[in-house]
Amino acid sequence: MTSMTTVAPGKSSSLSAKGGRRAGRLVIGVLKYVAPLAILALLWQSLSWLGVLNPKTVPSFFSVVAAVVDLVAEGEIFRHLIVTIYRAELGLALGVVLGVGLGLAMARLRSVYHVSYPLVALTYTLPKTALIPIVFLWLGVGDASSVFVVFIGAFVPIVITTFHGAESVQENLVWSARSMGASSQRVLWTVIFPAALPQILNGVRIAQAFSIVIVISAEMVASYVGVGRFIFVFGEAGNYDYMFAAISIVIAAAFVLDRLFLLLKGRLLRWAETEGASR
Amino acid sequence: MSSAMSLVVRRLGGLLPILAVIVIWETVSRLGLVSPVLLPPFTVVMERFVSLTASGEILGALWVTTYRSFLGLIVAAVVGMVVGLAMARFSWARWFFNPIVAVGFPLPTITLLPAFTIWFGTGDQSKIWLVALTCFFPIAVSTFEGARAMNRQLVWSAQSMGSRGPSLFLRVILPASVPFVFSGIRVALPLAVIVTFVAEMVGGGGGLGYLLIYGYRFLQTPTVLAALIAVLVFGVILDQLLLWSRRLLLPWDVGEQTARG
Repeated sequence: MTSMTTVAPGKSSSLSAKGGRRAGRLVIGVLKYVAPLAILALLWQSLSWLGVLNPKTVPSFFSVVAAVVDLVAEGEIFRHLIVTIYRAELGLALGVVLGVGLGLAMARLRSVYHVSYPLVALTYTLPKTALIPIVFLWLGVGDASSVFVVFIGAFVPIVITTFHGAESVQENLVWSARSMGASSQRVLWTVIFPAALPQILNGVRIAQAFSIVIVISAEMVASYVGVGRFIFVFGEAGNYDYMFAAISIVIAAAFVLDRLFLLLKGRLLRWAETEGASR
Repeated sequence: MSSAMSLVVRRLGGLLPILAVIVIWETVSRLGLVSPVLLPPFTVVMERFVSLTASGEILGALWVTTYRSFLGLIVAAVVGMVVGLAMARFSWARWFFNPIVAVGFPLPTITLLPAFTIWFGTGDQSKIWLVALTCFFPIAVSTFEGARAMNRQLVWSAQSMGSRGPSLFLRVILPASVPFVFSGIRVALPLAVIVTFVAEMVGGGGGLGYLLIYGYRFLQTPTVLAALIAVLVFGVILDQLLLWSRRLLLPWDVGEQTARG
């Protein structure tokens, strides 16, 4: 609100009044949006006050808030959070690069399709967290095993979305590029890949959410560091206010990662949006 | 007829790469290129699979896991549908649930597992409620978006023919929104299953996840891999259950089925 008024100090008073009104409307909108969450928090807190919720198993809202402040001030959680995010994003990146590669190859080359489609389809319905125990046996507990399970969890769905995205590219786009003399390599990278990109990026967004869930799961099953372990230790010790506080911080981190990805997606698809706007 | 034949040929052709993987697996393991502790031969794993099936361990675990994930999914479908429809119909419901769904949809619910174990114990309940919470958000969002975009002409023509209030809701809006509930379930299903397995691995209380982690703790690699084969079967069962219930509830809507096949 203050930034809006300081941006245009020299403008006429009617304009700044209009800006003020708009800022006021924005504030009211935000308040209206947050109100249901505030109502729930208040309900939670009053149930704790009234003693309906057992403070031993359900900490009050205010005690969780206090624990969040404590955890942030102490900073230990960020060390674990960074490990978790590193594992999730590395596995995701590997899965995206190799998954897009295989998906495009499957769409272009029948032989690749015939060999890989049955294997991909078989593992598609496999719940990826079920791989955690066998991967722990193979690679031991730690970074490598978490990254590997995330990689599989991202790789398989991204192969499928890339394949479908590349298959559904309009044939006349491919034909016109070919008729203008583009090689099939060139068609792949300048026509098919960009056309499939929106669908691929939607797949990556879902895969990122899954990656975080998978890493935290693996860390809960067995690990030495990582935020999943951090949460679990609080739970085992019965420090439920700190457990909920750590969970809230993880949720906030997952939210930020999702927003960052949306920003990246917007940048990568700027051309697609301008195309849509001109139409 | 010929199309049925070609389907059979295609299915068999699809088995070849899987067979190749099995043959390579068996050879690598038998030649001792990989330690049998890490990768026992496929035949040994199948032997374990058969003996665990004969003893009833795999079937029991399969039943427990299927029961938990499907029950949680049903709870989420019912509540998610009610909330989604209310959001589409009433502005107060939209006001109230919109921020809650926006916060809850990207929520990694698996982090709540220790809390659910305290509240509901290590048995069925903690898993069922966690699955229900996980699946609620995608189903509510999908129902809301679907019911909002629902063919207005359907509602208008029903209204012009005198349909009002509860009968309009029960006969027109509810049936027309079931397909959207199902597309929400398709998003929720993989999440539900992931959550069930982890809950069983960490919290115990039986099921396929427990069998997997039990094999891991005692370095019983054949048991882990045999359970993993059961997990593959489980994935297929759940997919088929979903298709079957869809066909049962939506005999008039064949769109997605034909699109799949």
